[in-house]
Amino acid sequence: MKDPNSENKGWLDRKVNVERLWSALVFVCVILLALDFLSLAEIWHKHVSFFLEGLLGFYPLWGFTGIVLLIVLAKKLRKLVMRRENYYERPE
Amino acid sequence: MSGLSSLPPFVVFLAAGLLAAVTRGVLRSAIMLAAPFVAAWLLWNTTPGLHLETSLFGLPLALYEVDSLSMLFGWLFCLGSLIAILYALHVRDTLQHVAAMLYAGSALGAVFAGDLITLFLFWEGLALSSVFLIWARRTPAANAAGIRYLLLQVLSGMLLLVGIVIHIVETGQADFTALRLDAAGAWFIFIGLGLKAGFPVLHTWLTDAYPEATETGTVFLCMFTTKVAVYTLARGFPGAEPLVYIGVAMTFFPIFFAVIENDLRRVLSYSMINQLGFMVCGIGLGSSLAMNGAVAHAFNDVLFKGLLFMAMGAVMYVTGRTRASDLGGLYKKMPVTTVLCIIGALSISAVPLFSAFVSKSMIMTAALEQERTVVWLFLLFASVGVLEHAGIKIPFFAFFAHDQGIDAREPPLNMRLAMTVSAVLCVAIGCYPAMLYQLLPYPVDYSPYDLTHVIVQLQLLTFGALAVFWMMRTGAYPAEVRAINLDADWLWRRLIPSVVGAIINGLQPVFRGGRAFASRQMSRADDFLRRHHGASGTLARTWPTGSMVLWVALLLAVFIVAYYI
Repeated sequence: MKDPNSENKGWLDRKVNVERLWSALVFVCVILLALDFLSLAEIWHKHVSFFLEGLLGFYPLWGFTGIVLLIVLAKKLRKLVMRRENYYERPE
Repeated sequence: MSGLSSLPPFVVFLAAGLLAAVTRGVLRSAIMLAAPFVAAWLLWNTTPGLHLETSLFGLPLALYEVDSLSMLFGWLFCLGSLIAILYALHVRDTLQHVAAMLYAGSALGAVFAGDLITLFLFWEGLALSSVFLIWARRTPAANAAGIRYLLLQVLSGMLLLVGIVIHIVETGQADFTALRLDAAGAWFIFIGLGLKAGFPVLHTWLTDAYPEATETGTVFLCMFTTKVAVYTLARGFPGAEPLVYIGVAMTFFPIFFAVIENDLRRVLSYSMINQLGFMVCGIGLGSSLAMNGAVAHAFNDVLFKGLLFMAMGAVMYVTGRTRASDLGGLYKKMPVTTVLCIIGALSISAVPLFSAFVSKSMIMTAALEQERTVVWLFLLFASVGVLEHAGIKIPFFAFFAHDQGIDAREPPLNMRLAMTVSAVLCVAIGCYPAMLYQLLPYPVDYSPYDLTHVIVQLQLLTFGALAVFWMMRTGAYPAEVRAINLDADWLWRRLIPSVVGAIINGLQPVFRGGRAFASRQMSRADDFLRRHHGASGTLARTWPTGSMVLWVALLLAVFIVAYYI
């Protein structure tokens, strides 16, 4: 069933394209973080209703660490709740 | 138009359901597609107020009562059912079509129910019609999941009914208006409604049964039951404090299960509870901004969650697979479906210009307005979680990841059309939120598109995406494996049966002793009865007529003697 040679090579099958996408994502992240610094210089006004929002890099940090925490905890959860697929079928 | 304005839209779907049972082919397709249009036309011609009343056993029933809140859900269900009917048009199975039409009709009936008894009738209608969409898969797993689903749905109905009866006894009226959580009746109603809204622990029917339904059935399922529940909570318990915390819990726990779940339709089911959590929380916050946000999010959820379920249904229809561990690389063979799925993923992740951005943010802003910062931080964390499981995991593992060399093609035209309609609406609402805002029950004084909001949302999401792909590159991301995860239903699928089994085993000697004692007593009683009433027993013996005459004469003599003394 798995025969990559017989398939049409997709754009994403080329490692270099995947790397390009990854670089693009990193680039966009850098730009968005830079915007936070620009707001410090009042190039654009960041209006906030809660002090945490105003902290430099709060949203990027919350997004990044949120995902890391989520995945680390989910892996711990897996140790607790993962079972074989026929777990609920009649035992014996 | 007065006659038409009092004709409730559920009647259209019930009639279409009956007609769908006896027609076939193009005629049936036409009837089913016409139903949402006719129902929408009726809604267009109606006005707020009570339009149809009857009575049952002396209780007045308000069958069709319209206000701005029910109207929004009326439009939503017409739109949702149109998309789902279009998506299911290729299906030949009469059972599914009839069940789907009755199901959509029950949902429309429930949102226009003016009193609790009418609500209860349609509440049960939802349960009884929807279960056939699960059973229609016709696999042993679907049959079993359908029975578990029905048991919990019926439990929800029973709680609701008990609550209604207590409420009527307590207050003497059955109108469906805002209730206060200070009486037993209201609490029963609250839990009954909450079961269908996916309250934690009571949510398992959703994650258990939705992934077992047919690929088209799940699309109907994801649109109606839970949204009716959100509507009833919005009507019955606006501003109820427990809903804030229940809502936060609902946004929180499913995101962990969604990370480790292998079946992509089950990932979407967990995602549904997460989205419902935002709505429930918004209803609990209770301000007009939060209530608007909650119902607007329900509206959007039908579109983007429907779209994601349709995309996964298309994958299932074409490949027969839904497990992440079995899928991958489909973008080459299903490019249209891939793009539509990504639009759904961007919409649910609340990317600016897509639909959830304009509705979820209303709830978040409302939380900050009430200075509930801890609630807000939890919701913000859950929003990042949505990006992980619905925004990235669903499209990534189905269409990208490792090419499994699966034989695939684009799904039928009607499926692609239905997905396209949903996707266009997701983008349209995201770009022109006024379209949706003008339907909301409260006046809207909110604009999602200000510079800060757009930038911080993009920061949150891109850095979240950065973390996901970074963890995938470093191998820290958990691999998709063929396995299941235990959830709260383990309590009644495993723990309770095994405890009951152990108790029964432990009591075996007692049962044996009891049985021996009982059979001894039975045989003694049998002996006694035989001795006195048996064929030759004292009381069953036959005797000659002469002896009877003798005894009568003797009694007479005794009587006469006694009389003279």
